[in-house]
Amino acid sequence: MLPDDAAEAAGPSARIIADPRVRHFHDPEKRAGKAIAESLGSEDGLAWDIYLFYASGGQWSDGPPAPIDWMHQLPSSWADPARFHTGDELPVELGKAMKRLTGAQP
Amino acid sequence: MGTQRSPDESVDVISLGGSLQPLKDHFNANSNKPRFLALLSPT
Repeated sequence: MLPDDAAEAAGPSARIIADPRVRHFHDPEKRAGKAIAESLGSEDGLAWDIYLFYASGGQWSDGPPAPIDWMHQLPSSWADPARFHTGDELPVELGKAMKRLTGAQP
Repeated sequence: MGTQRSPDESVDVISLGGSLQPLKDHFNANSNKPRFLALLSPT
């Protein structure tokens, strides 16, 4: 998404979240970003700095299923400004969404 | 949720160059669970 984004940068960044449940991908042609933006209703947008929550059961076929919740850090874009979160607010909102997704008790 | 690895530990990064299929396959292989997906810039 940014000029310095390259496969070489993905490895060190991936080490930041080193959980065995996590898979890291590098998307040089921005296919995932385009597919996600389209799934959220944008015809020509590109999704990045975006967080999506999917219920069990949904399958990715021609495109990803609709997320049950999502939020982003794109200050001016096609993305719903009501879903924009940054700074200290972002981890709080991510935590709330994760609890709703997993049914975990607060 | 896990810990950071040391700088010399390797982490697999799967390339989506040419196809989204590896991402689709991983997403669908875990369809019996809720899933979280983040699209982030590495820089």
